[in-house]
Amino acid sequence: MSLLSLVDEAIKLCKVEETKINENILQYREILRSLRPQQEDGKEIELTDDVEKDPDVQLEERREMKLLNRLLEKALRVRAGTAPQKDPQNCPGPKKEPVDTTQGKGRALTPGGTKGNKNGIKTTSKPITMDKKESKKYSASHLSWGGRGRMGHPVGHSGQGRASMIRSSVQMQKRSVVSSKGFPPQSSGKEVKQAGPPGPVSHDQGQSPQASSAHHQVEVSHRAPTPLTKWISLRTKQSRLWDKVLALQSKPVAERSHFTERVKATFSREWPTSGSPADTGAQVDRLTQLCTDLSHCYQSERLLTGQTFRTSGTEPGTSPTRGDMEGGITTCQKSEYESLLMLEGLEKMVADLRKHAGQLRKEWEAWDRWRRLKGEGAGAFCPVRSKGEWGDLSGVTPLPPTLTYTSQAELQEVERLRLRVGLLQQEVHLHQALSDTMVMPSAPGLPNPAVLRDIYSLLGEGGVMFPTLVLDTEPD
Amino acid sequence: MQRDKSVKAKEVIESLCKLLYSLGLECVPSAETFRRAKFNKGEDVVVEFWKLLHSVLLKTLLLECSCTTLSDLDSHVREALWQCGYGASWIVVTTAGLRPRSEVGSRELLVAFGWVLSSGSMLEALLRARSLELDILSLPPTISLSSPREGGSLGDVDGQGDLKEDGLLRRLQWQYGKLRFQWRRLLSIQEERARLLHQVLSSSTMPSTSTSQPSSDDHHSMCSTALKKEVERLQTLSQLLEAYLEWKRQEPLFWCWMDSVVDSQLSDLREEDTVENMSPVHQVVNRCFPYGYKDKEGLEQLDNMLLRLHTGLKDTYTRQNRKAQSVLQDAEELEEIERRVALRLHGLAESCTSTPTSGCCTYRPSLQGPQPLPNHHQPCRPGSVLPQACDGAVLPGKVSGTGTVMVQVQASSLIVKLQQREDFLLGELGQMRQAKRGQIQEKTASWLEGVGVVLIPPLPLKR
Repeated sequence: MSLLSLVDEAIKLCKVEETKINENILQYREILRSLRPQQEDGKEIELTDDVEKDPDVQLEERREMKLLNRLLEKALRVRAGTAPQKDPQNCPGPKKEPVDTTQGKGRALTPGGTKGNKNGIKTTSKPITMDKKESKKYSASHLSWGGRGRMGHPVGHSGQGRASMIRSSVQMQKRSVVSSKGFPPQSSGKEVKQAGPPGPVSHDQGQSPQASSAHHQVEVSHRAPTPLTKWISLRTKQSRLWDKVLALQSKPVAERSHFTERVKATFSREWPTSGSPADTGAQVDRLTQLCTDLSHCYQSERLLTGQTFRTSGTEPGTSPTRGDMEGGITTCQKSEYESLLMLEGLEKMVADLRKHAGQLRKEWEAWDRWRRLKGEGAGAFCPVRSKGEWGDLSGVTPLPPTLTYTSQAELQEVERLRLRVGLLQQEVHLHQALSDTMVMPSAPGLPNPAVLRDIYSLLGEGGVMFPTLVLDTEPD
Repeated sequence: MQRDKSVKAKEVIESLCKLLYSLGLECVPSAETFRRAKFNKGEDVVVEFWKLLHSVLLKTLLLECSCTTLSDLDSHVREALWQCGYGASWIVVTTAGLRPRSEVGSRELLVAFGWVLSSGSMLEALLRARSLELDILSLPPTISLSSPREGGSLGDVDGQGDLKEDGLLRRLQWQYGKLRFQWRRLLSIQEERARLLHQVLSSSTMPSTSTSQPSSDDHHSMCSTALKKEVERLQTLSQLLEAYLEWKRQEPLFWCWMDSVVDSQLSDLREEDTVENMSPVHQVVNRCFPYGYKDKEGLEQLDNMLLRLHTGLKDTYTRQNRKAQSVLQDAEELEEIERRVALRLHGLAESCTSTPTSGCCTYRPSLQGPQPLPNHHQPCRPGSVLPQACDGAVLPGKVSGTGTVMVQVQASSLIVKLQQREDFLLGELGQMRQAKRGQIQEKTASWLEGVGVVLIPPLPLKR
């Protein structure tokens, strides 16, 4: 039964879609899980730091900050003094973006930081000025940390470990020192390095292990930028590339059209001037679909007009008696009028369609004359249908446009509506198939009220609700 | 100068080859092969180009059969090229007869390849398909849900058979129920996916997370396999996009080079191939292609349907009826009704045009910051519905004279359009169902009365 097979096919398509969506969900969950542990690690460290040092933090912090500032100034002097001609931008060492980002949202450099390229080399600003900004903003920004409570974001975590911040800023600075290779006074650099950790990190004794571990961490992060940062930078790079690609795709290339014209000139004179058989076929399909829709619309409008006519008891077109006009316009008349207007519109569309179909037929015949008779070979009867996208001449962009949305609710709404429209389309098709196939037989041929009930529910209610059939035993 | 040109040509061809390779095409010959093809030398070149053409055409057209031997390749490629509208002498049967494969030189194949590349937007379509595979954070098209219907096959099914066989009807209802369940399920997991997608996107755009202290590298490596895979995919995609940009930059040179190929071909033109001598062989009536026949059938069916519609419409009403009706109505109500009708007709016309405005194409979502960007949105069609739209200005194939392409879409405008479409579809469905209900009730009224049964329709659902 082809109806059943149609519904089965629809179910299969839905199941395929479901598996795709489930697959996507799994992929997204995995990605999010990969993101979370790193965040959670950070959070744990910060939490422990907090717990230990909270009461004394303020004082200590100030002390550390002062030390840090002094160190930075020293570094600046050292650098400026010994290598004045060195271009700071030649620093080849990669600046770590996550470290940058932990320095605070307010920094103008942060956007620049995240948009760094794959290697993470920052060339947008001088390290020295960055350090300076760091130190200034550090004092300003730490006070505002309490207020930030961004979900799942360690920067916004209110209990942000200051010590870890300091540590990381020291590493920043260290890296800027370490990375400027060929820096002549290596000894002074090392001095700075060693003087660095003892001061700001903590008042603990174990400073050399700290220094070495910090140093080790620096080197480790040199070698392996985390997949996360790589991913972020890749994504930003990709969206940039996409923007460029989208901008380019619609530009016409004169040489290309010139080439096409020349090749066309080599074809036979009787060759149709434009289009292709695949195009014509696709258009025929589209028109057929439209025609089906129109004919269903027409049938339902015709039925409705007839029904309102019968219920209201008047001929369409004869004016009703004065009595009916009391309450204003009845809904019957409104719907009747609407149906009539629809029919009129349909007629216009059909007239246009016929013209179009006539054109298509001429085109098709022109192509048909050239159709090859394939006598030889087993593979002679190879059906070909064009994937409508690329042969489409209507300027429709085949590349996916960018959808900009502002909130999760918006994205969800867009997705929901897209799916809903697709499903409704499916429902409409099924209904059309049903009404085409289930032809109501003439009255005497109806055997079974139950069958009638089923048909009514399928055709009239979409299978959701059922009518009730009641035996009328009451004598009139 | 010549040397310069040839070097440039080589670069350009190499960028094309690289792009084709990244797009996933098989059998991409090297740049050297391309150059040799221009001079019509070498059997291996010919073979390679046949294969290339075959793989390209496989991707862009739906070839519904699998054949690997070279002779089959030959006819498929020729047929596919014909379907694309390519009319060189070696494709078609002319009065001079069909050119055997051995005589088709590499230069001709090269020109054919150029034609395929230049017509339509083949590279863009391939790019789209490949990017859909690689970019999991894009919204895929939902067009897969409504498969194109086979128009003729259903109409022939005997309606009586349905009614007689109880079991079939019940099964149909059951399947319908399953289908509805699938729909609800899809909607709910779609919501979940959108939520997760938003989370992933927001964490990719916001500067985030890791402090510079990896707690343990092993932990990291375990958790981030998904990330690593994603990173690899992104890298491939970036390479692809870069190759595309590079190609676009050098495209004009390529076409100049192809021009030179055509030049050399024209200079070598054989006597039989001149334009005047090519005329189609008049085909015998017995057509033996199933699909050719299908096309013709399709056209005939279309004509029949249109004729039926046309005559039906003519019989149903006359214009005077409408005039009489319009006298009775209030001006406002009239306008409103007319607007509704125009909307419906527009919706009907829109339903068959395959434009991305209805949201069924793929999108790349990007989270926008709180401040609104300037609106780059250029619609392919007028966004607002005009009352004159029902006059046939929106028929398929005549879509938009402007031909602007959409680069960026705002979610809010898309939502509005989708809501319109949803309302339209719901409205149409409601109309059709209401009509059917009335029809069934009328047709069975007399019979039911005779039997003494009353049909009570269910109360409409309050949505």
